[in-house]
Amino acid sequence: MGETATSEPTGPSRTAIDTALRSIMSDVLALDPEQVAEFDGDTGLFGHLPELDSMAVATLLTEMEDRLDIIIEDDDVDGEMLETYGALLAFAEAKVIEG
Amino acid sequence: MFLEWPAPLPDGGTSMEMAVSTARKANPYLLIIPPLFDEANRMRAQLVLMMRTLQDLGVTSVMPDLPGTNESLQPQAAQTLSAWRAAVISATEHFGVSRALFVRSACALGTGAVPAFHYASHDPAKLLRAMVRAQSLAEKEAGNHRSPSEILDGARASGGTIAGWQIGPAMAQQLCETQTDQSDGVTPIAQEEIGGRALWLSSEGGIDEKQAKALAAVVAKEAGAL
Repeated sequence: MGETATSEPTGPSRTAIDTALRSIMSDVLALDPEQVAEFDGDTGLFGHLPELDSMAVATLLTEMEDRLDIIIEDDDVDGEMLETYGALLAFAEAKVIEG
Repeated sequence: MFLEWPAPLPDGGTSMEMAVSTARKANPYLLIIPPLFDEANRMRAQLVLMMRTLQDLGVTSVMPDLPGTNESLQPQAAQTLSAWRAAVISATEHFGVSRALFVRSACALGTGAVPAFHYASHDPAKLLRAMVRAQSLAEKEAGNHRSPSEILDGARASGGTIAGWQIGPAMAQQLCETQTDQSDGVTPIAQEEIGGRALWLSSEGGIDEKQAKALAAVVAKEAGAL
């Protein structure tokens, strides 16, 4: 995606991160963009979406690293960050700021 | 139609491997090398659809199995990227193709033997990183947890099963280190040019006619068919 940290001195905006994350979810879970557009902060992910198995989670994290230009450490990955869309978005935002 | 071709093996032998081809008499124009590991399964139907779309435009193509992939009976654990690159050179000569299309991580198998398209090029190290992560998460669920770095270190030392694939130590090492050569004779094709969902990312894969047409059009234009 075009929204990389290098394009703006302050890094991608919250909206840009949200857009990138929804696009990744659509690709990894093979869902229509319209379906993913309906995700809100409380939408359950791991344990709620049958498509989200271990391979899908691994692909999701690796795509997030690629498209958001962040590094996700082994220790960062826990059940909490994957529980809801809101939690995952908050995690991504924190990583981008940290980045 | 299905053909057989003699693929070189890492130990110096030869193995008859399958290839799917749309060329009836003359040499196929395009050699297609699908992505590595899981992404090959996810993309196979789409790539076959793209081959048919190309055929409708008058451009023939062939997609060979490399040893240890798809229908091959060769052991996965014995394969390496360097041996696969040698197999790609053999296939290029055997089929007498004019162009090659490498998809995703297979771009690392680019040989420079013929001008090539690199479609949505992806670093093999990143692919391995996702596979190692998946293996770690699956082991966590099974209650026998190793961290991704422990799994990777183990694979580099003595090989192992990573996300369902038998990876030998030399393969693990090469996946970590191999850089994709984007130099002379390479035409990169970004997914943004093709549009639509990145089909290789979802476990279901799926097919997309619009994407098949867009990719076929890039190749056909180069072949002078459009």
